[in-house]
Amino acid sequence: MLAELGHFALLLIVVTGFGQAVLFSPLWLRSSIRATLQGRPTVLAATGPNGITPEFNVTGPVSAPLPFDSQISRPGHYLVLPAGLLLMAIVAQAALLHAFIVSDFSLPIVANVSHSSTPLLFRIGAAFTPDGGAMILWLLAASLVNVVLAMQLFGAGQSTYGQDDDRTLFYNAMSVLGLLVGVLGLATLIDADPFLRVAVAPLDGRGMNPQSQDVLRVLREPFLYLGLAGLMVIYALTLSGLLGCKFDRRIAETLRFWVIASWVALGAAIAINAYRSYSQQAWGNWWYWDTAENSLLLPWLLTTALVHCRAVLEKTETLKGWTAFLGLSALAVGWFGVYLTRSDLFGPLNETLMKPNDSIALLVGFCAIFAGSYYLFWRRGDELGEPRPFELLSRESSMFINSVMLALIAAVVLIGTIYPLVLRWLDGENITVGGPFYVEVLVPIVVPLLFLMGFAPTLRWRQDEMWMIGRRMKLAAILSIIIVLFVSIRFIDLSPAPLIGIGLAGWILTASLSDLWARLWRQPDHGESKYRNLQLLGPRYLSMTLAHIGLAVMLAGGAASSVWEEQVVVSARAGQSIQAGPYNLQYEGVALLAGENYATRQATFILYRHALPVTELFPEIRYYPIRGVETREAGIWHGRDGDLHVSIGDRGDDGGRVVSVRFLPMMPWVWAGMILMLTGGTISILTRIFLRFQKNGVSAS
Amino acid sequence: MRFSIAVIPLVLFAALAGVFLMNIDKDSSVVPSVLIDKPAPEFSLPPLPGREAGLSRADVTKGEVSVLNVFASWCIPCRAEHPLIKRLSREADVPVYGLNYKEKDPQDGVKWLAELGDPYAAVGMDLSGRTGIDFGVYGVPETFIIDGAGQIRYKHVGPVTADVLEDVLLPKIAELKE
Repeated sequence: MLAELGHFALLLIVVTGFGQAVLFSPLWLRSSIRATLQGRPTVLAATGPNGITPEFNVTGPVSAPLPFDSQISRPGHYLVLPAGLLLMAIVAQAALLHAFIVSDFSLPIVANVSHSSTPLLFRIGAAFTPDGGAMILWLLAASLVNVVLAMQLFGAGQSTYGQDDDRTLFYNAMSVLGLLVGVLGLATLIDADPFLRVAVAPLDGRGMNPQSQDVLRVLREPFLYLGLAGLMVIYALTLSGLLGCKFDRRIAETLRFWVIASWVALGAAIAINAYRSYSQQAWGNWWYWDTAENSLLLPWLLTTALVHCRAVLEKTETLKGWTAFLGLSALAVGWFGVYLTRSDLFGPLNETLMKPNDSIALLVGFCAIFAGSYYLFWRRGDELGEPRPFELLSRESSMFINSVMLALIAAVVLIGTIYPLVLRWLDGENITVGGPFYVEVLVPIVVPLLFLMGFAPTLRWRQDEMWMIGRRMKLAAILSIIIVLFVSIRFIDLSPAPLIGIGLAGWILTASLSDLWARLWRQPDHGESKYRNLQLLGPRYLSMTLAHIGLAVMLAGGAASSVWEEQVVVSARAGQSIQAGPYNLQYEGVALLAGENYATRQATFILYRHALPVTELFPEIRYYPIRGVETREAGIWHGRDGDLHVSIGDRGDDGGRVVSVRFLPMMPWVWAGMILMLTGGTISILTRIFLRFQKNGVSAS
Repeated sequence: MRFSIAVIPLVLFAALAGVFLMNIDKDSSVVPSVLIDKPAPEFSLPPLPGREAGLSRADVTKGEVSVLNVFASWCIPCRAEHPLIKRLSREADVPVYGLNYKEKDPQDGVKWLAELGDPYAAVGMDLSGRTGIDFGVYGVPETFIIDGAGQIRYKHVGPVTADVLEDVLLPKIAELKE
């Protein structure tokens, strides 16, 4: 019965989503609907659950009096629809999870990807992997951000604009977001309705795809869909700005939280995905340029560009058209990525035992929505207002160039992803685009971008002078040249590519640190307190510096580990010892063990560093009998100077076990860099939330 | 309607959307195999335990059209398509050979055929999966139609359904026989 309840909730989500689109829209349509509803005010007059004090200006010069404004004294009304939407999304998600937890195989979605022997955690995780389940999670995330946006827009603390408080913008944004939720819900119902039942339930399911049976893989999904939901809000706010022909500082301020939150969520999904491929795949790379990774990378790149453009928009009200374009396109590529990983456009999915599914409604909805929004962008693009001029040598132009380069990178990744599709469409040939293409094309874009990244944060707004830049960057330039010289002398036979990588990492790192240093030791003006410099830094600057340093650390780690990697592949017998870098591995043999729903051949290695035992590592080959699939789990040790990555293979011809050991120097830097970047973003969000609540508290008292 | 660069995103998007929408009805589970119209690879496989005849390239180059079906006891869609393979061997009047792909235990294939019935003229056991790789096996089950000269003429990936059998495989075999 619960599944039917979930189905009903899904239907209600669609209806409520479109309802929100209509009721919040300030078109004549909404007014007429409101007029018909006047007889029955209880439909919308149910009191909202929040107790936020309203500070709205009803008397503002709003072009046409909006019907909602008549009841503006009770802002809870704005929360009724979003809260109802969230409630129904929770019901739908709970019903689906329940079906998976109790293994209700009369639902084909459960029978396809779950099995009675699947452990509880992964039965829950399996609920997110099939199309329908993923869509439900996306809808839940979207309804969540819908409520948060409603609270942000209509809550207290926003009416700092006095008489100019035109709320059409907010109505439009809520309306667009409602429309998106409705379309997504409809696509779920048409493409992959997760709540359909079959008359005769199979006795047991076909089991979860073993590749997905992993804690990290399960953890990735919420981050991915929260990120996409954040992009939906960005899209809604951008589109409402275009609709109202008003793309100003206020939109930029409202966007700030959402841009950074989506950036962090998508970045976390990418980081988790990278660590996942590193620890599972036996050959232990962390990036493969495959479709799933590219579809995560694309929206992240555009969000990164947006982080920078938005700051320019807020500060100087320039780059309006470009920011709007990025705001629309970030969701476009995100949505497209979801479709990409889900459809069989690109040849059969890797799960050949699953029924292929083409998400046609998702694609048609995508095309319709974005064709419409790009059309609007075209018609309104020129009316956003004349940009203020700025010099070539200024913070504005560096941020603009930076975001253009990021968008170029995204374009290259997009082309690499869809090129095989176009080619197949033209002459029926099947090809794949791999790492070498991306490296060759991206290096000429990435190198100048990283160089710019070193000094862009120190540039002045509007106009700057070359000699001033030179003076500021002197120290960083000297230090990074010293680093490059040291590395190239110490390792004579180093090819130029990694040397450039390390040099650029050093450049960004020293430039960020020297700028921080200069700001800390600035001569205080007369009468300023000693701690004024610390106050001036602010969370924005600190989080930006942290993220930039994180990228430098990651870059250094990636370059170093790719150059100085040592790999040993041997056919080992019990008791044999293998040398890799400063480590020595002693192979103790393989044991056949039983996992919860798999059998595993687990090898034991004792890891020595300079003859002192450090730890034990247990790489495995797991065999999942339900699907007849093997997976490999590597054993990894994150040491001071690098990662030791060991994986085992089949039994060799001579009776030994094939063992692959890799020592990757500075590899922990890659992970640390990712964590630093995410920490930077998180600090920015948290301070924002903290300040907001503090402000609300003050205004309430 | 005056020209502006703001139209570029719309044009690009329309072009991309066109490509995607044109691709919708194309069934990409039809993997174009490089082996189509090429001679079948050289192979020689041992028989199932307790049987006499294995399977080798000589069997498919006898001068008559034949079908090679790749199956495995661990593969659930194979179980689903098995009745149709039986029908195929009854109705098409050509030898249907079985390639038992990557069993954990050689006995598994024997048990499977004992339980579900054996439509195959001969079965070869590919424990290592080596022959499967030579044939470009992408995912089990797969079905190949091989002409008398030993050329692979058609390949079906995934389970054979009643529609595939009646609309594709049987007409193709009939056409090749002429």
